[in-house]
Amino acid sequence: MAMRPVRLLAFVILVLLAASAAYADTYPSRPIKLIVPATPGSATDVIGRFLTERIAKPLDATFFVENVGGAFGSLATQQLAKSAPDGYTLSIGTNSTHGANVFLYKDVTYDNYKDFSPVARLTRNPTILIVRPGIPAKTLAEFIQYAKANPGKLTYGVGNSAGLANAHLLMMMTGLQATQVDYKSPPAAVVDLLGGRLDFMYLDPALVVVHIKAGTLRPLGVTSTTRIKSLPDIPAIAETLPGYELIGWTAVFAPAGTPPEIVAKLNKAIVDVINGPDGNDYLKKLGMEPFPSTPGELGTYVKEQTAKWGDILTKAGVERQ
Amino acid sequence: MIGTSLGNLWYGFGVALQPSNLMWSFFGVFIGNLVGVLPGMGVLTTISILLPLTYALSPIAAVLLLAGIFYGAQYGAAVCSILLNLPCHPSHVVTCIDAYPLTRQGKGGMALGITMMSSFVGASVGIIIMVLFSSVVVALALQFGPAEYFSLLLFGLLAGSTMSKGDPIKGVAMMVFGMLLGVVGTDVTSGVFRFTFGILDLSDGIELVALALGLFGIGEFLKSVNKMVSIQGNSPGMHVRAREMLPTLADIRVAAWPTVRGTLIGAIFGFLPGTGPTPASFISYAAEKKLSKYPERFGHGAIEGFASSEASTHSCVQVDFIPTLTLGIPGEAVMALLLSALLIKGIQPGPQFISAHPSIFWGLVASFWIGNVMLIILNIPLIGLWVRLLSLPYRYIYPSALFFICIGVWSTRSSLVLVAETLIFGIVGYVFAALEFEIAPLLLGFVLEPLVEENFRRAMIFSRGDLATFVERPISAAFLCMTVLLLAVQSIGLARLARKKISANASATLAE
Repeated sequence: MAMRPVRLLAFVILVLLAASAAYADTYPSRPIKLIVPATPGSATDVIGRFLTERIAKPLDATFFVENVGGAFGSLATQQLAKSAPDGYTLSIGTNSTHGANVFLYKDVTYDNYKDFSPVARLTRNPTILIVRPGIPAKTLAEFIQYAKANPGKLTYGVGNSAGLANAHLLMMMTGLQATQVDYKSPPAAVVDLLGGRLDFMYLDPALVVVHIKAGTLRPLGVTSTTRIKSLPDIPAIAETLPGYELIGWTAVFAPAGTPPEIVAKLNKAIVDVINGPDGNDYLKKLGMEPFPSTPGELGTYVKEQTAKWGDILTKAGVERQ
Repeated sequence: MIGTSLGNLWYGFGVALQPSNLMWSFFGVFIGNLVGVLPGMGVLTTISILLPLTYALSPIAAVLLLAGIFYGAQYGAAVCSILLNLPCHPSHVVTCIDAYPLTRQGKGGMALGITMMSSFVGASVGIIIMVLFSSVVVALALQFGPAEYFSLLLFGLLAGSTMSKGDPIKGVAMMVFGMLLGVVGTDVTSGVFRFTFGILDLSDGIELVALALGLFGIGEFLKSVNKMVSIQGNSPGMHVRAREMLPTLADIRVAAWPTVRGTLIGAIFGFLPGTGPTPASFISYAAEKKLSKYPERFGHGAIEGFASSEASTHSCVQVDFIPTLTLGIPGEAVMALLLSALLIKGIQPGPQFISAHPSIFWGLVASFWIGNVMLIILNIPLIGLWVRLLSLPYRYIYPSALFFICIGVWSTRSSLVLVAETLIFGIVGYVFAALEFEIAPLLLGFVLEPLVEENFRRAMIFSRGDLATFVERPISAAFLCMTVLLLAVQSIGLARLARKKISANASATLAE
């Protein structure tokens, strides 16, 4: 009689050990958190939720999204940098969080490259240079001429770091001068463009495609080196200004030190969704292009982009807050 | 043109009344109503969570669902404000001021009933404006540049300063304090951090939800905790008769004109992207107080106060859809999400929206009205339930409300710093309440300050530093005139009052 409880105990312990071994082996075994560095409803958030919904099945995992908006995504990214590198916390990174922010905020102390394990790149988001119809310039070349003939008279809108950097890149490469008008977010500026008060601005395709088609706003060029497939009539700015390229992008990151097998597994699932017909279609509708990569490629890209954005923002004289 | 609009509307009803669409609309308003009742629980968060559900739906069902959540939440939020003095959504702050005293007097059900009615009227008129005047509204909206916004909001600030029920100076002081709180955050023009004290969480400013729920909710609890046995003022368990729960015809008559005025004010703010229902609700309240023969009643249960502000909120929310759908410019965060949802379905809102997708636009418009009807049907029987819940002893109600507040605030940004902010403002709110300073003007100042400042500076940038731009542009000049007129009326009123006091004192001394 005394043996049986001991045997039972031994059996239970063995089962638990076996179970925990199995537990350690299969990733994922509990819900994975995806931090979205933006308020619900923004483009970044929508992509994040779409992604988690699509990779849940192939990975046999459950995801939940946590929105941590504020400071252009710095709060979210800092949270990620401090999280445990066990593959259960991921976040969406963008050209802001892993590119520009380190040059905009003193409190951003993480290193874009060293403090994170890149998982997979998601999208590339070229922006479009838009002018109001009243401006007498039908092409980019004409516009540059017109702007240089009226230094300081034209106004351009800025609603985020991408708009800021692009405007400064344009001014640096052409020598034109214009006055900056700041907005809390890009949509607010579209009203001023339509109303004829604001002269030009770099905007996301999703915001302006209807106006381009209706003729109420005029596009002069896209910031990627190749034309946007859904808007093939808009030339790339690089066709007039060789070497001009500045696009927004999104990607998935994990904290530094996340095991490479987990990263590889996540990467495969994500790239499959992005490359698949559904994902392709979905992203195009939001005005973005699929831009998948391997973890290594993403890492290199982050280094490149950090240098590039840093260069433009420092030359533009933007001070860290 | 009206003929075709009505014809299209009829077609829209045909679309909206299809059983599957009807079901999704109901689902949306039901969830919205529920979410609205819970303090702080974001409509935005809810819609984001439900967004994946819409991938499988047809475009119109998707929009019906999401839009339903949005305006359903407005109905739900009113319940909290009226019964618990908790503004679950900042545009209902003003409702708290006059509806909560009615609840304390045992007339909570009547207040709820009036609110339902004025909300419904507000929403219906908003829908009519959408149907008939969309293009006019859009053309007008494009004429509003920063100078016009500034003058309009300046008028709003002035109007808001008239709304305090006690000493007017205290009201103005609170409003200025609110404006100072509004300064905290990042300056749009220069990118400089202001008063963030090195806390990155404050870089986007103090969160409105934290401020409103802290000042009103937690402040109120701290004040009432040992003093109230039951919110209703009568002993718990007392049987409230059905007749006392619904508004009488006399009450409805009092609420009629304020509802109409509120609706108009709400519609104006609806088509101006970026303003939203919160300033509209404050201004309707202030307008009613100014127009009333007995302004002393405000703050103690004046029906006109909350009837007009609720009507304004609902009409604003409906009209808000117009710039979103026809210009592709979201008036606020929820609209941006709706826009994304439409884009994902391959539908691009914009100038061609109405002609390219008539079934969606008119189906949407028709379903707004059907959704509002559903909400009335849902909510009227619930009035009895809410009132009975109120008769629970206060010591059960306030911990639960506190619990929901903390969760709701946390869920806005998954941040404990926000909860801390709420608690701090709760203590501040208690101090103000104890010193008899009103909180509502503080919130108005807080909400309007960023808008006023941003627009003033932007107008100055556009005009290259020329102050004359505010009077040169006709719409802006019109609002500035209204502001000056209002100041004049106020001053004359005060002068007359002062003269009366002097002559009363004089005759009193003579009589001695």
